[in-house]
Amino acid sequence: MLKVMMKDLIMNRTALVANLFIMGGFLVFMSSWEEGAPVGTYAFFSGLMMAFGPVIIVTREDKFKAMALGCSLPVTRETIVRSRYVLAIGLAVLGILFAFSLAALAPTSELSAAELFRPKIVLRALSVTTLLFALLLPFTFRFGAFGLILVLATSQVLGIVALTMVKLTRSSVDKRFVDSIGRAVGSLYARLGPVGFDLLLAAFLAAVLLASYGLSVWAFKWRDL
Amino acid sequence: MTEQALHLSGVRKTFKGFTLNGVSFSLPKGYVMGLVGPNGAGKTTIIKLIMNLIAPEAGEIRILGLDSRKQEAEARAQIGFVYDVMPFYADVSLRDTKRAMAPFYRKWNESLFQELASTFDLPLKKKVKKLSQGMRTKFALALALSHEAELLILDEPTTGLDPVFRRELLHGLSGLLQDEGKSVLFSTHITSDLERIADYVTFIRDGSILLTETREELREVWGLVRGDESSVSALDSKLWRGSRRTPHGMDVLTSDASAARRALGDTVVVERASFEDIVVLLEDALLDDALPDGEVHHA
Repeated sequence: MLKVMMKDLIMNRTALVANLFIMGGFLVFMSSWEEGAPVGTYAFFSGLMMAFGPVIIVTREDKFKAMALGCSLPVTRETIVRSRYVLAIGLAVLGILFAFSLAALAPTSELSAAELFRPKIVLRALSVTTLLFALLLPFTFRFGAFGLILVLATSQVLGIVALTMVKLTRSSVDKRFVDSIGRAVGSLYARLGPVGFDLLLAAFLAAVLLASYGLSVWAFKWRDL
Repeated sequence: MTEQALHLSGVRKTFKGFTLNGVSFSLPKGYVMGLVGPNGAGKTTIIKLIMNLIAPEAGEIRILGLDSRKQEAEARAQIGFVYDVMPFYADVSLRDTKRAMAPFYRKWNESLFQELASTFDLPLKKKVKKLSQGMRTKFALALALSHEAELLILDEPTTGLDPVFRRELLHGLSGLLQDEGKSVLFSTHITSDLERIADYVTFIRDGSILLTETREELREVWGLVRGDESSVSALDSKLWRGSRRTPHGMDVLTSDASAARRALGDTVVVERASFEDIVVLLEDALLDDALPDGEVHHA
């Protein structure tokens, strides 16, 4: 597994470092907003942007049709999937730490290390990244970079359809739906307390990742390259 | 029983507009097999199936006795591969590409790689995109040969190579086999490559194997019957495998030169058929529907 991860890092080194600096630049700018970016929003965007690392690996692999190279090496397809998940999580964790450190250290930043490096905030950023990976990776293993476009385009279309329906029916189902999720999360938080809630969230994320991993292994097993 | 480097049995794969139709053949250990056929015949599909890059719908592929799907990693550790278009990362240097790939092979021989890189004049610091097609093939060959693979799978390895290096490569492959008992499966359009090193020839067309025989059998048993049209036409149609008109009469490809000699005596000349004659005339015959459907000649 380490060999596959090393291969991905060597082959994508320049692109990953460039991405880190471009995203880092944006995040520093965001942390320096005069009115102050809320720490939760900063965590959300850090998670979102650091998810681009693994996306870069997939898109570059597709660009050079290099999946055939990886799959010609003496390694099973399941190991390739497992390595990609571990690398994605590793890159996300490092990326988020990098993003938080930037905001904590940048002289122009309105955010402090004490605000950022709280388990709740780190977990929030990680949740965004994990849920993104869990959704995207099975599609990328089955369809390559087209899988990314498929998910993003489908999400856009579904969003447009949902909003149009709400608009046309003058219903407040969207608001009620979001509110009900908010209430459910709030009540769980109240019942479990901060530590219990964070543990439950971490367990939920692990379960989602595991399900996504199983789906990716199955999808990749039958992909023709 | 002869040890098999490669054994395909009833392998089937369907794409839109193309079916690889129950392909079966074997390559004994220590021999070279040339896989020949026109574009779109299924050569690359067979190679991708062997490498487990695509999944077969039916059949079995064994690489040095290992199941290509159930023991994919172990099987591929024994294979050195060169594809017609190598899927390297174009913006990564040769040195980094080697650094990324070498750790996968337990038997990686760094000094052999450096020696091959020097022989092939590979600019290791350059990015892959700066190389010509021929240089990319040389780099792929250096990688394939540096982990002491037991089986080399080469998809159109001589495409894009200059004639001098092509000759050197084939000579090198031939030497490698004699010295180290390795096996090679290579696909090609170039029949002169087959003449140089192939011990076995497998001819594929439209997803079906039409012929898989040893070089000796092709040389000794097959023949080219030459003469005027009326004399040559007297040959039993069962012995015909293909024909062409020439300025001097007619050439007929036969899969039994001795029988043709016995049947026609001195009225015709029966010569040894070159690989090119066999491939070209078989292909023409198929285009003209001269062969009954599905007729296959086995070794």
